[in-house]
Amino acid sequence: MSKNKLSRLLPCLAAGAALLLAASPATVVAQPPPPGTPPAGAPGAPPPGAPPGGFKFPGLPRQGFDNNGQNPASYNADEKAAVAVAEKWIETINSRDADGHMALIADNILFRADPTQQPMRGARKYCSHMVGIGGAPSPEVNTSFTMSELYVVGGKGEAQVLFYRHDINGPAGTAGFLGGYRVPVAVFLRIRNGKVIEWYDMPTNKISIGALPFSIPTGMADRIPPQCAKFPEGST
Amino acid sequence: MSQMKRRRVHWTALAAVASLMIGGVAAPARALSYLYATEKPEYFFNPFEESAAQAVRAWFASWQSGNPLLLGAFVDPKVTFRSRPSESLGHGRDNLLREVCGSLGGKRNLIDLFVIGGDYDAAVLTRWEETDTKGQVSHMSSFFRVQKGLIVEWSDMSDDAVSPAAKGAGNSDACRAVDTALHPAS
Repeated sequence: MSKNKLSRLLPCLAAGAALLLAASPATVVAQPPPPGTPPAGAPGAPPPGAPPGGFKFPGLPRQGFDNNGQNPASYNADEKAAVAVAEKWIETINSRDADGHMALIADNILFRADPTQQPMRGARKYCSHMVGIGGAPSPEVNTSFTMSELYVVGGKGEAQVLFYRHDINGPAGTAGFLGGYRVPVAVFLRIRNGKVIEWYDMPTNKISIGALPFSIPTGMADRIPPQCAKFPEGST
Repeated sequence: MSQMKRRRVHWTALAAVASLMIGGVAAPARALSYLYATEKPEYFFNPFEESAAQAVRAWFASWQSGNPLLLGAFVDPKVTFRSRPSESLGHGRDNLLREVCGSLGGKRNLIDLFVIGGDYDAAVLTRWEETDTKGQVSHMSSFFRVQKGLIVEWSDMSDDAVSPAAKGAGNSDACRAVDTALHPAS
């Protein structure tokens, strides 16, 4: 690059850098923290972007008098363990960790992947179903699940988890008209002793099979792929 | 290189530097963050969630009132249900009312309610307590699925080591009311 060109480029870069610095939070004039506030980064310090100490959120309008949320710090041991299982359930689907996923599943699990289905029993059928929808035992299917809301209730060795999941069942152009579409699904997991004993999926919008104006055969779990034959059948 | 082309190159270079500085290009996105909300104030409920929450609150209110027919007004005729964790699933509103009529009434305190829903389906998880006539408190949770303001699925689960005993009083006033409603005299 000639000296002439460089001399023209440098002011542009300098101006850009100045703009970025001006817009960055570091240039905002810092207000002194209230007395007693732990220094940033110290245990107990508010996260970046949190309201200043002493600020109280005004009450939001509400109709009911029940609690509609919980602080994870207040989970009891069963709830904490169940949330870990729920996170692992998602994680093993996304990482295509079939063995890790099936290790979370009780032999006699009761499950239903869509409300239009009758509940089914057993880890073998569960495994078969997960192959069908691109779950853990199916590395070739480009599925991605994310979790956006979660609530847990439990105690004495058992807990129930309700969470909101958004599924990408494959890139656009695949998975039928679902390709690339974020499918919102409410998920209920009942967990006992670290294993999922019940699983119900409920698509919340009209992408749900039950909401479609035509019927779709849902007999995937009746076909047992070889990799699922090792799991127990379950009993009613 | 024309003046215009040189300007385009300069601004492209500037944009690349800016992108790198703010991390828009350089920072690879994590596949999954595991960041999720655990609190949803009622103000955030969408209309379908609000409708589902009200149906479930009405369930608790009518259960506590001891009136099975009022309870049935919030239940879909094709409901799937399980009143006790150890039982198998039951089907139909008539069967539900016959099964629960002897247990209605008594103090049920709805503590927590969390709802996830959209324009087709809503799921509700609740935490509640029941106090029996001896003052014994049972800690329970219930799962509901709600469509168009009606409960289409319900199951109770105990969060104590032992489930509360069934209170079936088959000949109670509530059960007689159910029998009369389901088999009206011709």
